[in-house]
Amino acid sequence: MARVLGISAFYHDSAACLVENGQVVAALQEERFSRLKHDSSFPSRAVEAALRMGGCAIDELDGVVFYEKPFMKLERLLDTYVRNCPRGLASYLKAMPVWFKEKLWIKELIRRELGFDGPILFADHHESHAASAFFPSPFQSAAVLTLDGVGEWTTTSLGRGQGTRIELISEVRFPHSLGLLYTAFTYYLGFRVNSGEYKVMGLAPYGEPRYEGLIRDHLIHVGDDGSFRLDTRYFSYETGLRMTSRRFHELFGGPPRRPGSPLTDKHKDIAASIQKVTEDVVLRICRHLRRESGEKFLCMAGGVALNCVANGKVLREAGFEDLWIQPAAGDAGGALGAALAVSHAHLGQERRTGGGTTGSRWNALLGTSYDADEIQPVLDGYGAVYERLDESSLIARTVEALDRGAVVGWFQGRMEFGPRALGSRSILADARRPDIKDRINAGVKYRESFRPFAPAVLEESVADYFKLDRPSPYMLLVADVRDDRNGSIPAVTHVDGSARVQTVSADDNARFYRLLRGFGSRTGCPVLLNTSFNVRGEPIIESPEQAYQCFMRTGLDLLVIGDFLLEKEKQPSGLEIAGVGGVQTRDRGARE
Amino acid sequence: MKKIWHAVRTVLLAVGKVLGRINTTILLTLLFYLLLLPLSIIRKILERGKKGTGWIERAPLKEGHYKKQY
Repeated sequence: MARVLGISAFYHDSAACLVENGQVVAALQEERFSRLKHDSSFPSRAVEAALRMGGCAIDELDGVVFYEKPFMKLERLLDTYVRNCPRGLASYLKAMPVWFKEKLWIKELIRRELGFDGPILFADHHESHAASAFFPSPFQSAAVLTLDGVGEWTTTSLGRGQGTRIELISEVRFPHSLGLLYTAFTYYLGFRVNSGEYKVMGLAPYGEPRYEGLIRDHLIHVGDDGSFRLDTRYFSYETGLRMTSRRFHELFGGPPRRPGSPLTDKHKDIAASIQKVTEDVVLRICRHLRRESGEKFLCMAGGVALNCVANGKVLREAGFEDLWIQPAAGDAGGALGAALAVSHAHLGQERRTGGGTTGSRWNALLGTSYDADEIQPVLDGYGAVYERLDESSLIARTVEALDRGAVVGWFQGRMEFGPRALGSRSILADARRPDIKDRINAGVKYRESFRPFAPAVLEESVADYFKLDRPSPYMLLVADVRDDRNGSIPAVTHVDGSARVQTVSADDNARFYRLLRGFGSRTGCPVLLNTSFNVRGEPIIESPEQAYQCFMRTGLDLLVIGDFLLEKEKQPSGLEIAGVGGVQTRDRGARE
Repeated sequence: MKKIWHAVRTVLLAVGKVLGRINTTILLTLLFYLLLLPLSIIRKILERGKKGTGWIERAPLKEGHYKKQY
């Protein structure tokens, strides 16, 4: 028995992952337990949960692997300060004490935090991303592309995976980074760095790419092979505590938008422009990789791989037969990749494609679960009014409520690993209702009105509603709604007629599949609006307690938690519920 | 008496923390200007006109790769 624990921490989205004989047993993000979105602290609670789920004591591990090489990262930081000196003193004075006090001693810190005496290992940041993309994929051989802000030095890497081996062949290095370019625009548009990138993506279809030429002429030079180079004079992230420089602000005619201030047409046009440039660069890289590697399939990871609009274009236009993206493509997935890399490449564990039995699909439901014996005491503790139902009644009642226009909190089975709710910790609603999007944005999630919602659709019905001919089980592909369905699912159709599709099969999530099938049978439309079970600024809920708190403090009409069904109007009035579901903005997305 | 010592200890620790922060800032600033700045100047002279572009080849993984922090 070979057990490896992977850890990612100290930048953003810390996580832990337990791999046993090459198979992933558990993977969890610390934010779900600490309730700090993008929590970067050591993932003690995620580790504890992973070990508990694996039935494994800390001294039974064969190794603990960290997802990046700290000395190489420090080398990059010092090199950057030397290159830019005398600029960068403020950033240097902020970063260095943290490095000397904590980050340089990660090996000792892991030993101390875990009480572990065995081997502590280190994988390369982009190697971790690549492993997280290729090893769980259904392919025996594939090209691998990793794209993010920055790891140690690498910002983009190209490689190839075969069996239990991954080889990264070439790279683009810091400060030239497509991820940081996108993040610079996220900052300029007034959204939170390392958190609000998907808001830029959601805003883009409202604008026209009027600034595309400006970006290409001044900020980024892109080669035919997809390699790129930024003009660093327009950015401050190398040495400053901000992302963009005064030169950048002059180029775009003003300072960054203040968070919370109105979004103008100009902001929308800027979002559209950077989205278009990003899609073009990603596409060029993928075409180059296709030519160079000769591989038919592509695996992608890294934060930029969460740009599902670009992913949809890659699938359609890059020349690969199929594309696979690991659902926790950001830094949380680094824990998974590091553990899998060590398990296969270092310990020689056998790899079964798809992460399960041969041919089966990778399942992103790798987190905690709660059975009825754990849920009921929580509900009783709150004095909640509930009904316990068998599955067919539970689904029938939920379908009926959804058809009536109810907004439903859906808490079932194991929690998802990664940023997307895939039907385990979800808020669901009827996708046919034009008013439901504004209702959920304003009364349930308390978020910006421009932000779109995603559809969950029965896998066998995806082609009936969307211009997509294959499964998209992780909500990472954007496709257009079919012309003949135009207007039939307005709650999940974005302003440009596109949708971020999640397909659901019985293998992926049996109860969620049955719910969709039941809704389809009743209404003739097997599509539901599916969004994460949380409110703006908070991580997705983890426990029954958090689910009930969120249910009571928001505009949710119904909570379906395990076999229990709760209606809002039947809950005791005057109940004081503290905790999850308030509008919090605490966000510890750390910077170096 | 115990309470007084506790109070003294708390004050001394707080003062120590502030002094530590000041010392750290002074030492790091000295390091920045006395070591990093000369290195930066030398490097800028040596690298004048160089502009790397395109894909950079990655070296294959070495023996003991996972055991090293670099």
